[in-house]
Amino acid sequence: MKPAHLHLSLRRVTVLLLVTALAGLLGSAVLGLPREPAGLTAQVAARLPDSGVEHAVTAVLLNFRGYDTWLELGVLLLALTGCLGVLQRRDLTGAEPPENPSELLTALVTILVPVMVLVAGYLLWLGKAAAGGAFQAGVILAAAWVLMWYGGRRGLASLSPAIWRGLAAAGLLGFLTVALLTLSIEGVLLGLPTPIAGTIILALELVATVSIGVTLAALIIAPQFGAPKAAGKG
Amino acid sequence: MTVLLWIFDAVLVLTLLALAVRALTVNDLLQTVVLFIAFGLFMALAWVRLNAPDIALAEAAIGAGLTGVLLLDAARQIIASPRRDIADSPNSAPK
Repeated sequence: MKPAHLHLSLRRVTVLLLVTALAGLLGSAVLGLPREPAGLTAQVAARLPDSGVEHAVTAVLLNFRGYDTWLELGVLLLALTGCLGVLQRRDLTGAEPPENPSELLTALVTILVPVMVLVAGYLLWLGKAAAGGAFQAGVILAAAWVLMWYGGRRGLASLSPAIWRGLAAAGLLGFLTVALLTLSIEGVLLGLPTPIAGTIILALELVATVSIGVTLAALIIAPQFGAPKAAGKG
Repeated sequence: MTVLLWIFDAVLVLTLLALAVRALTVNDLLQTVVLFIAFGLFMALAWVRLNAPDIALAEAAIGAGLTGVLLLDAARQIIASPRRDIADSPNSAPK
């Protein structure tokens, strides 16, 4: 067996070389950027009226490149599946929130959670015209569930497994439905017809928000019950 | 006004770099996570300065908020679990 220090230094040199190469690549990529902005801003601006929304970012995310958002929801679902797989759990059954949460937290939950749900809804609606949208709204929803959890309430885990798994998959399935419908009626995958594009986008964002919220909250809640009774061990 | 913004940007960039270096070098998991969260919040500010409020919102919510919670939780569990030799393969059961 090799002496430990030699082994370490060899590894260090390799890591150093790899990091230097990566830094060089990144640097050359930045230096190679065109001086003029070469993006698709003009094209997006020109087609914005056809998108059904007024905000360019939402138009790109949910209409022009809805495909990417669809796959992102798939990635989230995969992450949740992977997390549950590693934990060898099928769902959140049996998950118990921390015992004896601080009174401050329990009081905060009753005040904050309704406001957070309201803010999530507002951000979802705002996505049509300004910065906001499904991901931001979904994260706030997830944060509300996590806060409830640490405040000693079962929240998400009190839903039946079939329901919360359905909610977690709703975003992906919603996109799938729209994709199949547009493909069979319009002949274009996710080619939203302009007159009802705004409504479809809002509906997609709604299911996506719920899915994102459920998935992210479950990612945090799921590992909790296998955990040793936290502070006591250590 | 422009000068003020330049100063703000310079401070922002320096803070980001300092936080990144500190987060990578500090020898305590919880501190690293907290520094990472701070980094995410300053990064969100940087996105605002780059006129990308959408990304700023996502960065603050996902990058700093949610990832922060996940990492804090993971760090707590790692610290609470019995210490393992790093050289052991990750699959080998703790002895």
